[in-house]
Amino acid sequence: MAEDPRQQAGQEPAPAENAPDTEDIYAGNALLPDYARDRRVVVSVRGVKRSYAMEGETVWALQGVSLDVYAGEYLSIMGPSGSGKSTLFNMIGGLDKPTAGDVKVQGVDLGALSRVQQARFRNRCIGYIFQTYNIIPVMTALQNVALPLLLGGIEVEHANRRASELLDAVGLGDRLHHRPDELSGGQQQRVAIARSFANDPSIILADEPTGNLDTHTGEEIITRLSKLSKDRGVTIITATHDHKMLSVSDRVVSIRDGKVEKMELRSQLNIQVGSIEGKGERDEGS
Amino acid sequence: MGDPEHAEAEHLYGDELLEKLKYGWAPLPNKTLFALVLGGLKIRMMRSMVTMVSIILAIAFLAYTGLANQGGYNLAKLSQKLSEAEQTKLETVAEASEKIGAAALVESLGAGERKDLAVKLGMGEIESQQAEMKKIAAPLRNGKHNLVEREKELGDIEADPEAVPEDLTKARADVEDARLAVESLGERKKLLEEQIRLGVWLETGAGPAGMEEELEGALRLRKETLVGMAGTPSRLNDDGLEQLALFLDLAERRGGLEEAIKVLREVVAQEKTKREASDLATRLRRAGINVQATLKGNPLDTWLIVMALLTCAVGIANAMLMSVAERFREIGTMKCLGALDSLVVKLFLLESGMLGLVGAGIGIVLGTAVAVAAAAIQFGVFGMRCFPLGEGLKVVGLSMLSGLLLAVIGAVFPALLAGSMKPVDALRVDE
Repeated sequence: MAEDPRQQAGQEPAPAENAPDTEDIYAGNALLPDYARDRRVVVSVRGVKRSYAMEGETVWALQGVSLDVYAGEYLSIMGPSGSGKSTLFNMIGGLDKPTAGDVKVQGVDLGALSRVQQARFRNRCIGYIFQTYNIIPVMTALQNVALPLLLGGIEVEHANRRASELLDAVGLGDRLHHRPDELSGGQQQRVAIARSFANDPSIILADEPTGNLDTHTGEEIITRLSKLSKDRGVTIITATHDHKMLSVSDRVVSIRDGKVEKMELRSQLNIQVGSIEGKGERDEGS
Repeated sequence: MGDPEHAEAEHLYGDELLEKLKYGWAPLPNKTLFALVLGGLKIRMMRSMVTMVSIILAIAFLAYTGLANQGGYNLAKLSQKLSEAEQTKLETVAEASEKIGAAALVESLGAGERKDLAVKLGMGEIESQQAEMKKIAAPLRNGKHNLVEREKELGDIEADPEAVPEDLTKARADVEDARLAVESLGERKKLLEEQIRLGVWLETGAGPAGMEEELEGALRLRKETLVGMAGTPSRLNDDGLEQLALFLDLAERRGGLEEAIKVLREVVAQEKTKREASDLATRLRRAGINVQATLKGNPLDTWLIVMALLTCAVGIANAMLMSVAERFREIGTMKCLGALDSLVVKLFLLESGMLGLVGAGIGIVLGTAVAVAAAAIQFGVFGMRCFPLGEGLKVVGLSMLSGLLLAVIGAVFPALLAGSMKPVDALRVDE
């Protein structure tokens, strides 16, 4: 596991108040990862519950989830449809507010921020990658990657330079001025990846990034994402069905019925294409 | 690798981070803003086109109605003005006519000037006279023949000892009638011959001796006729009026008749005005414009315009709502990237505003073109004279503003809707 670059810069280890409550979270058969000691907790989820009113009934999508995410790690959240995986994901990304409990990113309770503060936080601290790429169809690849920089108040020249650096880093240096309809799915997703790194966020949330891609392209994407994150020390949190993701993940959290079913380290996983066997029951993936 | 200010933000936590986040923001550069707006319009070209067409039609209607109304008002005012023109007193006219009639205008002209005048008066054109000559030959011959027969009959009856006095009277009356008929035809023929002779002489210079005097006589006669009719100018046709004016010019040159000339010129002008008024009134009637009603003002038009604009606004609102619904993913993504709600609202309003401006521009051109064409076709010269220029500019300005407002008001609700969307609502992906 690569050293956290912030460690090298001489940052102090996680201050006392961010230290995980070991009893709460790691009760059961999960193990504390060894890097947990040296790294800050960049996302802390505590007792998060989420309910929806549907047809007169209350549906609980999340029924009390607690989790810590450490700086620089690659965390995958897995779970079948309806398990609450996406809901949890939205919580972490500041896209949704919990009915109970709280989510803190970099020590900031996102639910307590005003809409303007939320927007600004997202711009500087969180990157997003979507299953459907979600790049703006009327802008070129360069303009798309530059957009978060421009929204962040960076001036145009600088934004464009940084955007082309990033597009180079994902291997699209020769397609800066292509529009999305001139790019393949894999290429569009690479643009999205480049865009997510634009403002040097501390966390990047990738929601089913390989969902719309074939196996080969998907692998490529996963590899690139992983490499970039290691190079720049960014925490990656993905929600996924894709088992290929596991080989690059530091930890895998399994969600079922709105609760954390188990948390496994990569070393504990036995990965074969199409199925996974770990401690406990066979995971029912896509 | 990045703005050093931003790099620091990563390492900050909690309240320090929040504090840092307050600084370093700037609004999106206009170039990017417009790239987004124009790109958005382009990619939804079909829907944008349809929306724009509805704006064009509504604004064209507004512009046309505004111009047509104002033009109609101007025409009504003109019509009223023309029909209220003054009429010179009859005695004054008679006096003036006599004076000018008595003056020796024609006599004071030189030979060449007389010829010019004759030509101006149309005496050189003899086609119609020649045609009539041909037509008159047969009736004249028949008439003569008829006269001979009647005279013979009279002779027979006079010689008959058994003739009744009534027969005699009747026979004499018949002869009289026949003679009168021949005489009148003969006179007509003589007149035509004179005119033709004159015309030929004017054109070619060829003719018998004494043509100069004939010309003088003809000119004098024409003058007296025209001036004599000045009291009842409605009997003169348009050519006659022009010719009268010619003689008045002549009189002016001669001098000494200023008062009389002024009076008759007034008469000519008044007659012209009357004829204009009649022409305009006919056109107005054909166009269905009631002068009195127009001058009082017509609230129906205002209502029509308001309805047209409202309908258009609703159509725009619908189109924009659809646009917002279609782009929910895009909106959500923008918000994830850090776009403020106000930026999203601005984007939609700008998009609609652009459509409004361009649509209004085209609509104004269209509406004005139709108004000009209608004015020319329905009202000819009057239409052009009365076409509203100053007020027309006001109408144009108002239309432009309306188009813009229309588009923006129609888009307000959808834009606010888009702005208030939460990113998670906008990105709902199936689990």
